[in-house]
Amino acid sequence: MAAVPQISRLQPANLSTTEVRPARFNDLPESAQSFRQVFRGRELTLKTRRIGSGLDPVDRLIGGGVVRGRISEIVGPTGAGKTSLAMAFAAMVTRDEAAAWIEAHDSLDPASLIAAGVEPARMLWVSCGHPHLPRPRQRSEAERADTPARHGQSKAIICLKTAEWVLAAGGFGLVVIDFGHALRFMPSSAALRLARAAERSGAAIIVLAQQRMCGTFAVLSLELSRQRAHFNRIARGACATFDGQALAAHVMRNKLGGAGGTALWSTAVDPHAAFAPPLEYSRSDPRARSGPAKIVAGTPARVSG
Amino acid sequence: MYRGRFIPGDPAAPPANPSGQNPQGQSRPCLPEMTPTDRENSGRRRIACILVADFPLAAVTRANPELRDQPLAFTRLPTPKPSTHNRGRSDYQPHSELSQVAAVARAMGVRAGMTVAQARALMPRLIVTQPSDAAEDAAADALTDAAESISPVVEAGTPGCVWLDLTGVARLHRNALGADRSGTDEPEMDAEQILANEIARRVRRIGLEAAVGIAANKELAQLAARCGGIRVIPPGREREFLDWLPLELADLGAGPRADDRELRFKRLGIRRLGDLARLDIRAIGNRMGEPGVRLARLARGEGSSTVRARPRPELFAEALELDYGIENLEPLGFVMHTMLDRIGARLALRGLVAGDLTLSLGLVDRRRDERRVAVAAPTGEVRALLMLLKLSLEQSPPAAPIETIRLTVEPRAPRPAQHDMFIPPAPAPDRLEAAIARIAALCGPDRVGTLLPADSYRPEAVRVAGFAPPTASVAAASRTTKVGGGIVRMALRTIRPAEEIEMMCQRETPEFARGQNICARVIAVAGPWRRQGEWWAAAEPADGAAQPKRNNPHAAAWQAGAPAAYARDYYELALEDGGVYRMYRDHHSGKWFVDGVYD
Repeated sequence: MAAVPQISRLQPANLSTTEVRPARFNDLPESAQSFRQVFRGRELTLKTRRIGSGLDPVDRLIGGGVVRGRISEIVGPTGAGKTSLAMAFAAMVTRDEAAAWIEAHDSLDPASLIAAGVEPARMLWVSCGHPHLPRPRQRSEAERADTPARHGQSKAIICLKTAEWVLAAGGFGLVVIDFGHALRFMPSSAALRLARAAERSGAAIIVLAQQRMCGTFAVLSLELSRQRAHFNRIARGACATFDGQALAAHVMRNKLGGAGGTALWSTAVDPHAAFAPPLEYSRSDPRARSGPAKIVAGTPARVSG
Repeated sequence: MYRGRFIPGDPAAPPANPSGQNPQGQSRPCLPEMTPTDRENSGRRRIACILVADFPLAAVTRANPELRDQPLAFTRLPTPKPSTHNRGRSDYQPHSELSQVAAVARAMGVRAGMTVAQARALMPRLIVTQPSDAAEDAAADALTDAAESISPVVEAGTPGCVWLDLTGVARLHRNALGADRSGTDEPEMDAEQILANEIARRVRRIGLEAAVGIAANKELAQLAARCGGIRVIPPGREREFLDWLPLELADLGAGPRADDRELRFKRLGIRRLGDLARLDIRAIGNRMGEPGVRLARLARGEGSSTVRARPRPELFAEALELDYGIENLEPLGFVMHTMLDRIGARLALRGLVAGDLTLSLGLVDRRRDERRVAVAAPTGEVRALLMLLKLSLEQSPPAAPIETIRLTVEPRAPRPAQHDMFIPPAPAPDRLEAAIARIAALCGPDRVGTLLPADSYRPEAVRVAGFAPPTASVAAASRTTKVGGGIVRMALRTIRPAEEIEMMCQRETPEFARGQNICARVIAVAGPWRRQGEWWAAAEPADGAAQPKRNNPHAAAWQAGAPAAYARDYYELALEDGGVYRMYRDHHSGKWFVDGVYD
């Protein structure tokens, strides 16, 4: 008769006798780190669900990317790199997800979009520049004077409405709302509705504007500014070329921590050969061959960089 | 003569399961046996007939669901139509005769041929109105749609009567018929009974109540449907069915000659079709003429088994005539919602969704308001379609109150989609289509979609394609856009259309730019880079005439009017305000434009 193995009752002494000490979160395994947000109180945003831009300085600055299900603002004057940075985020998303680009003006350049690596078939474009609104009634002089501001306001409202519809449809990983210079102020109620819609759909929302508008409902406010434009000359007497810009990003507000930091980054016409030192003229250089140098009348006024 | 639906309690009712005996239990003399050819033909084809009794009444009741189960009657004489100022129904002429009476009113003794005054003496709450051609057309179309959802071979007969060829159709509807019935004793019979129930259910979905008859030929199927309810005549048992069928159920025609014919049959003691079938057909022809021969052939079970399907325009239309003009958009929305619901049910029967809409409104001042509402993405969502119509009406309201509404929908095939477990969720097609349709209504159909460069050398040429995101793939996911640690590709923020500016130059070098939104000194210049093309589109005519100004075929809607040929010198200018702009000088006009800013 085979011996039946005796199952000893589990005694406390059978358990590990090593003293259990609280470990730091970074020392815990990955499964345990997933509860990190629980220990931070009521903050339940999954910080791992971020969308990176591929720009190392910017991603490090904002903790890995923009957060899904939340509003992130990218603000700054025209030419500060808002569109380039938003396209970098969109390029990462459209590799396997759908994204939407809602703009108040007809300003999206499809060639730039494709050059930035965005899959155009996965990018839903909506332009609210010329809405089909009811025919305007006869307006008074006072109303006519106020027309540009009101028109911009209506464009922005249509942008918000469109964004809500897109978010309600679901399945989008990123929604970029480009207000341009259409909107100077957004009511808190509109921002709240947008934040709720983003939370429900799980899509990251990037708002491009000239100044902060979503207030406390934006989890991140990134301010961009221009540092320098790089113009280069192939050879003495030749036409100058515009190579790119040096830009700066400053975190004005970050609910998830890390506000106040600044990072430098750049945009380039050709990122692979960006900001190369001025070359000597050579016949093998295609830029030297191409271009209607013969019709140039005069020399550039001033070249910096 | 058949004047309405067969009443089940009538002693003349044919037995549900014909046994060859009359109600008194006496066996009738045997009928001549069917020839082998007859049996072969009758066993080969199966025809169904969908019959809506009192079709004009049913059509009006379908268009106005609140009239369902109400005592409704139609007048024979045209009466003044109630207007907005006189909405009561009391202006119907009391001496006009009733042409059709609903079953509820018939039960109270109201009959066709009575005057309105006589009928109202019997039933004071009788609703008297007029037949509606629009409602009948819409109901007839809906009935055909319901039939086409079962069989592809459908023939529309008189209004309210549709034949469909059911030969082999049972195999197409295995799911509706349930389990495979090959093991049962009468598989075809069971299948046809279930199929007839399914037909009746689908007709009920479009708002009509119909009787369904299935038999070997069209005439028999129609007779079976006239008995009311659902009646299937099994192959080879047609004579049993016809033997007991009252002569009144056969179509004897209309008018005094038909009444005379009926009377003569009764005088001869012929009350059922079986009696007629036993007579010599030549003798009937001598006495009754061609209608009698036709009736005798019908009594013998002879008929056409060919359903002639006629192609009809693939449009789904609903129409409604209102008793009074609608002035506000809100009540109009309720009416259109009902119509869209009905069209949605018809489309769902055919497995289709709605494409572009055409709304035709008849106004009280005899004018018509026709408008076409584009649906960017076909959708079956009634709310989204209703919103498109409302937006169109709000944008340009009708000039007068609306009296008639006709809504036509172009059907589209829905786009199938299936998600994968291992890729991120894509937008649900139906919800995405509805969202795009709503956005298109608000922003314009050419303002939503996928923005792509057009096939042109012109820098500003773009085109908008429909948004159809492809499914994610490993190849697409592996594509990387990261080119450097801190450098991304620069994007251009275009200005469409290009904005004209005033450029001050010194020795042809830009020095100062002034425009609507720009006013700054130039601090750096790159360029110029010449671009010219499409000169072939505006080539000078051979006869030396003046060069015509042709529009750019590649331009988008907002660029309409742009000249075809272009010759420009492009510059990248850094201005003192900090921005770097792309500007060009047009060779034709010598003017300067700004068409983008690097952002």
